Amino acid sequence: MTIQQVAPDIRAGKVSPVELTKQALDRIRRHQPAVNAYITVMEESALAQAAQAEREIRTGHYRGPLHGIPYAAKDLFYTKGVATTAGSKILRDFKPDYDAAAIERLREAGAVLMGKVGLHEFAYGITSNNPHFGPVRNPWDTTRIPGGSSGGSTAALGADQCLFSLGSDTGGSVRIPASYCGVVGLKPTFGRISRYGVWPLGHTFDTVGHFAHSVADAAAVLAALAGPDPHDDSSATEPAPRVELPPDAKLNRYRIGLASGYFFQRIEPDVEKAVRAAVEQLRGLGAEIIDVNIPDMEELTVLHRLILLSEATALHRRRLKTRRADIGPDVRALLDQGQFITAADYLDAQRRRRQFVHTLNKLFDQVDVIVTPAAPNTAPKIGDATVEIGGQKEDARLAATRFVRALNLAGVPVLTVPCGLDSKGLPIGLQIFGRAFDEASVLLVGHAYEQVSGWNHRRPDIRAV
Amino acid sequence: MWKTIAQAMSLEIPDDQLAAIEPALDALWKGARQAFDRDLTGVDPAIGFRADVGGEP
Repeated sequence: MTIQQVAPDIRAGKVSPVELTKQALDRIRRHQPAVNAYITVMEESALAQAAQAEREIRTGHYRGPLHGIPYAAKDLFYTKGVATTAGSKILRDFKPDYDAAAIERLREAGAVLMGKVGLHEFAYGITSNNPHFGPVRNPWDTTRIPGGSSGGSTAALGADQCLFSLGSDTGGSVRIPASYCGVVGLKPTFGRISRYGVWPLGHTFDTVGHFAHSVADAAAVLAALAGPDPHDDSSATEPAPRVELPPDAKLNRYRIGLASGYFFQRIEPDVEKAVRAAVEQLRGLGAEIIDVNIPDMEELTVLHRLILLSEATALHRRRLKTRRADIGPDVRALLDQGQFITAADYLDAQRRRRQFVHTLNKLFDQVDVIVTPAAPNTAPKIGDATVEIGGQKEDARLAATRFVRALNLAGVPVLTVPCGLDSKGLPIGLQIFGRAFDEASVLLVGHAYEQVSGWNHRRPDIRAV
Repeated sequence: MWKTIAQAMSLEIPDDQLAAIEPALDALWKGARQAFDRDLTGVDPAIGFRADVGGEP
């Protein structure tokens, strides 16, 4: 079920938000032992919000397509009076005294918050294998990771425990779990959505994003969330984008760049096959496909790591000193690495970043959007520190982030859509990105592809380990 | 080398944990060197300071 399918029936009084919420609660009860998506289920307040939505709609006060729709929030969005752990033992009992701007905007849109979902500790990793709250599991295969850091957001959506979910992306934390869990993920332009009341990680990268079962749903959520916020210095002044997604969308006027070279050099064969098939479908929709080369991807990926190591360590330095034993070993190792980076290294990396933005902007003179695989592989097993791709063993975290990190340097909008299943039945993701603040083109291309491919309608058969 | 730097910076990292991150630090520096060898004269860092925003609360 998608938001676009159910919203007209909610508006017409044919579907009850309370019943929809009860169904989601039932799915949470049934599948929580298998997927462990939720840290906190907000049953009482969810039912109250749903009842309020039902009353409002019945009396002619329909707020829009998210009214009465159940959603989940990554547990780093501040929720007034409700634990906001950021996946950390240190913050287990932290209850903010205000709501994040994104939570507030969704309340204004009438959406129903089901609860807070799991993540990699402090959003600093891609497995969501959390030492304090247990591993979040992939609904497609519960022995595998959902990706991260927003793994609970995609596991909950993949298990139909909500109709959309909130996440955040600092170095792939929306796109990797969207790809591994077979859902649509949107990382909007840096600054597009307020991050006021969102637990930070890397302040020059952190971007609020979200997940849904269709591109049209993702566009509806963006419309509710986007726009300036005086509480957030990084918030852009751009108004929310106007996005039109007709059901028979064609791409006749679109020039789509296929990023070659780096993005296909070390990649699972099933992923390459699915992505190339998706490109052919885009061509079939009328798009002109142009090979493009994004230079220096390896170097830029390293620079993203360097900047993030530095920013995350600056954020957590005091906790690293005073609560070292309460931080999981993988996150602690990253925070330790960040201590070795000098201010000169950090600033030079930020200067090189600006050059990359210039290079990417010039590429967008030739094409409207660029497509790549979202990840070189499908979801690894829980606990696997390394993966083997193209006969070469590599760190699972570095492999998963290879195609996504550099785009955070540019802050551009990036969409991930499901584009196939591998031979093990695991989802594969297609990454589509465009110019800063051109979410409209990215969403239109993803939407047109979805109309002909239908991969977003596939659902997992959830089995407990 | 990293142990010497850690001592010079008074970083409190246990020896075994420092040894565990040394390969990652080596790889990071090997990868970053290419960027640091570039001539970045005239390029401002991509971090924001706006005189019209901010200040301590």
